[in-house]
Amino acid sequence: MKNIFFVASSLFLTTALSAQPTVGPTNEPTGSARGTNVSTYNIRNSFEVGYRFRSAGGDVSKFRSDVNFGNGLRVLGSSLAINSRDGKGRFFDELLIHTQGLGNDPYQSATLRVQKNKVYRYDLMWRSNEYFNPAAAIAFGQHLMNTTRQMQDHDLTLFPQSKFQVYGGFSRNTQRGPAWTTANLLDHIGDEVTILAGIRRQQTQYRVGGRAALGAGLKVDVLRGWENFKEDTPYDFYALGANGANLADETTLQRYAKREPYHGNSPFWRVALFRENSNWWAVNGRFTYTDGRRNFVSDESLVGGTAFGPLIRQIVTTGDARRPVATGNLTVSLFPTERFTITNHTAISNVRTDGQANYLEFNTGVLELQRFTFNYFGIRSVSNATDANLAVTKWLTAVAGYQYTNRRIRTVESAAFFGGLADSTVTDQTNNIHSGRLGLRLRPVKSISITLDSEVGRADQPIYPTSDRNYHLLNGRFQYKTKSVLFAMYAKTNYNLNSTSITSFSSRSRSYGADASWNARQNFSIQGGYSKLHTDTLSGIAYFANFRAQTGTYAYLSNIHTGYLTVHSTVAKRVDLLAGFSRVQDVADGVDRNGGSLYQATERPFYYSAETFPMAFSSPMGRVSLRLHERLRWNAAYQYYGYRQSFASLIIPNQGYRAHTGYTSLSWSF
Amino acid sequence: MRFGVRWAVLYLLSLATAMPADNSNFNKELFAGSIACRTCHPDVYATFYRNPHQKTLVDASLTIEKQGCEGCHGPGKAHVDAKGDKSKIFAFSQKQPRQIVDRCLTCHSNTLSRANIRRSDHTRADVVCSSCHSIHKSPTAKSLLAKAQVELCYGCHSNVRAQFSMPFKHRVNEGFMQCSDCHNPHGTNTPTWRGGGRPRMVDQALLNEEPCLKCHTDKRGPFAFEHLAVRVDGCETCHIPHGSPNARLLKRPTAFPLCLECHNGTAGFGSTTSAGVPRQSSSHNMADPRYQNCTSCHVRIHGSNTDGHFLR
Repeated sequence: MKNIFFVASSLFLTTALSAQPTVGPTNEPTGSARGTNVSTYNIRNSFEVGYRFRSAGGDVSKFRSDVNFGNGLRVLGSSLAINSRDGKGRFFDELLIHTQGLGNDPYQSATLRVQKNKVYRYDLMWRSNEYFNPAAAIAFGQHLMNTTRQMQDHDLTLFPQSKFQVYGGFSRNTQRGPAWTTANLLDHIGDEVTILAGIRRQQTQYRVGGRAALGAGLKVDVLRGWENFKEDTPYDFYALGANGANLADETTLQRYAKREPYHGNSPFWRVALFRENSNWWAVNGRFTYTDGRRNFVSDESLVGGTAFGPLIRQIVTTGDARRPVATGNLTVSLFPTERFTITNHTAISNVRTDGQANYLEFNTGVLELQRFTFNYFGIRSVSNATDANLAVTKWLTAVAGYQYTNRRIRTVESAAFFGGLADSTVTDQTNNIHSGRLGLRLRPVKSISITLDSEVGRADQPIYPTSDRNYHLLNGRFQYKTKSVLFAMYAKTNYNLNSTSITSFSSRSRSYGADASWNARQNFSIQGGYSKLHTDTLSGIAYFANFRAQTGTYAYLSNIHTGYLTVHSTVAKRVDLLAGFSRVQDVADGVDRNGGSLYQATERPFYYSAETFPMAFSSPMGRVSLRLHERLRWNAAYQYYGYRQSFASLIIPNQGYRAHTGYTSLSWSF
Repeated sequence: MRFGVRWAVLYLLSLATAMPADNSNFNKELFAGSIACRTCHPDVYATFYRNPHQKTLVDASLTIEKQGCEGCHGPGKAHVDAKGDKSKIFAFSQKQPRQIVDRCLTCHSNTLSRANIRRSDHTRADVVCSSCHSIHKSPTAKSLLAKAQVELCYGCHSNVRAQFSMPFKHRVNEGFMQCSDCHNPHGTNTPTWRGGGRPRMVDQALLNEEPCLKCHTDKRGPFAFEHLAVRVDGCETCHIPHGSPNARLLKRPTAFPLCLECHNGTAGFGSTTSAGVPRQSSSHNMADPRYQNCTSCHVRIHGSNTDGHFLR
């Protein structure tokens, strides 16, 4: 009985101490004793049904992008657990079901586990996400999305406790819904038009495998799978002579349609041999191979007009793309003494992507352009890492490691017009990365632990000006933990310098923070924390303004402060109260521009000053849960979301909003 | 041939169902049996049927050293005789991190997902099995976690908690996703993207891909024209995966600096070592805001089948 109390209270505290809890589900036990016995099974069940409300003002689209809770009745959460008490159930020994947000929430999920000891184990996870994104700061809002993504994973293992197991699975991931996108239509200088896209994507995966114990602790695991992907998104536009976004362009569009079915499959293999349960050595070898293929056809047609008359244009593209990927990993670990561990890990990866496309363009009934293009893109990387871990004393452990990576990238680009000979461009790049790690773990007394970590890395030929080249990381963490009190502090820095004689890139990020929690009694707890995330980058950029080449330096500065506080209390064993507050604020350089534009549409200097984007996102919340009966509770919760930004420009509109959300519900459980 | 396959399948099935008893050497007299534990630990014993480890209690084919309480805590007779002396039994709270890992791996080493646990950052930081799992007092239905998964991770990774509090974030706090959707807390193989020691503990999805592509299936390709950034340095080149103040988890609030930081034509970068990452065309007038949203025209920025500049 004592354990039941503990489990119930732990479950409660788990919910109560959420960092930034969302409103619902309440997920609290309603009674002291949970579970009832039926035959040889024990059954526990709970569900919460309620009405969620929302009232939002300001930029509701931004709110939907960030939070997206709406109005309506729903099953906020439910769980069912049936356990065989003697472990010898006829059809199953354990059945677990857990759901969240079913009916109407933007984030819905359901999990199921059924298993019978020694015979089978089946797991199902189903998730659905209503995704809305106005993309106001991206492409002037022309890339809005309002889609539903649903994912399901089924996994079945036969003989799960045996030395020989068979397993299989099925996964499906679909994304459907309306979206806007843009098409660059009529000329090369750019005149894009917003068009409607009915997104239809589906990925399906089948897999089957087995694992067996070979003796001497060695196990082998073999997996074979097939992944199919298809996208059949239609794009359409109808209007009576619409102009594009480029007002200087006189071309108009009356009708546009594009169909581009994109189908393919990626069969894969994985073979692994491993041994981990030894006192003095362990080995883990893994090989994978995936052969990805995609075939595509696109037919894009439009009817419009230019200053010189009507325009009818059709573009047809056919082709395919292929990407075989092979990887190999081998880890060997040695434990020569109780205190010393050394591991060596070798990884090899080979990615080859090649594809061809045949491009045909008809312009007002005349074959205007025919082009054949071929692309090859290969990445081969070899990496070796060695790590040593030495427990110097019971309270001091030292960690050291070194990793070397060699990566070669090769591309071949060929293009031929009107059936002529292909003109190929071959490029090559090899990068060597050396990185070393050093760390200490200190535990002077049982309640205190101190962790210090560092990493230094050098790359001789990074692919991008922003890639890691000359970097170092420093991490430190202090923790004091007892049964009722936790106090932790951390500091992390990550500096990267990637400069050449012409341009430079430096990135510095630092974060500091502290968290504390106090579980004073079973009926009172408080938890809070603060973090500061600092980022400043400096990079060389080159661009054209009014047909004149410009070079300069771009600086970006972000100083984000985050904090949260959560208090939970139980009053007279009948009323549970929860209050919380969280806030994220980017103070940038400390200047509140209050809606002022950051950009000046002049030729040169508009990148020079440091760009900052001060904003604040806060969310106070409260919840009361009242026990009406041993098995019945009434819950009510409120959560406010407020977003405010202190910048705006022609390309980033002000997206501030305020939203009041909450729910009232009844939860029943035993 | 078919006959042979049938016999092979039947043989393997018989192996699976028979599962012969382990013949390892041990002294039975050192064991007290799980019933003896009930005397002093009735709360643990009463609800042990909810614990996945109950399997070891009801499996008659297991030897006593692998059954029930003593399967994990070792021989208990001396502990009973000493009236509960913790030093006479394998008490996890009294052991060094390495000893705890070794003990759990005695049984839990048969899964490939735990095959890198010895070299994982968690193990190296003395974060071992009992740091996250509560065997007897777990409030979670699966995996015997000591807390809800996200709270466990936030307990140490405060900066990640801060990232998931941003306006734009993956829906972890909302319960739609979990940290383990992308990370393997038991250790991972070296990723096929980037280089050096990072990213750490990021699990490879679809065998050898970034975990982002597990859900964002349309970005996986292959495409006839790949954006090299996606495959070489990974999605983190442009995105902050946990959370960001910027739309679509981008590193910058607007598109043009994000693109121009790489596309500046500086020699020595990119696959074309002499010309650098291609700079923008002279037809782009960056003084005109219309050109500052690069993805307005370069709509297929993750990869395209029909255009090397990702225009369609």
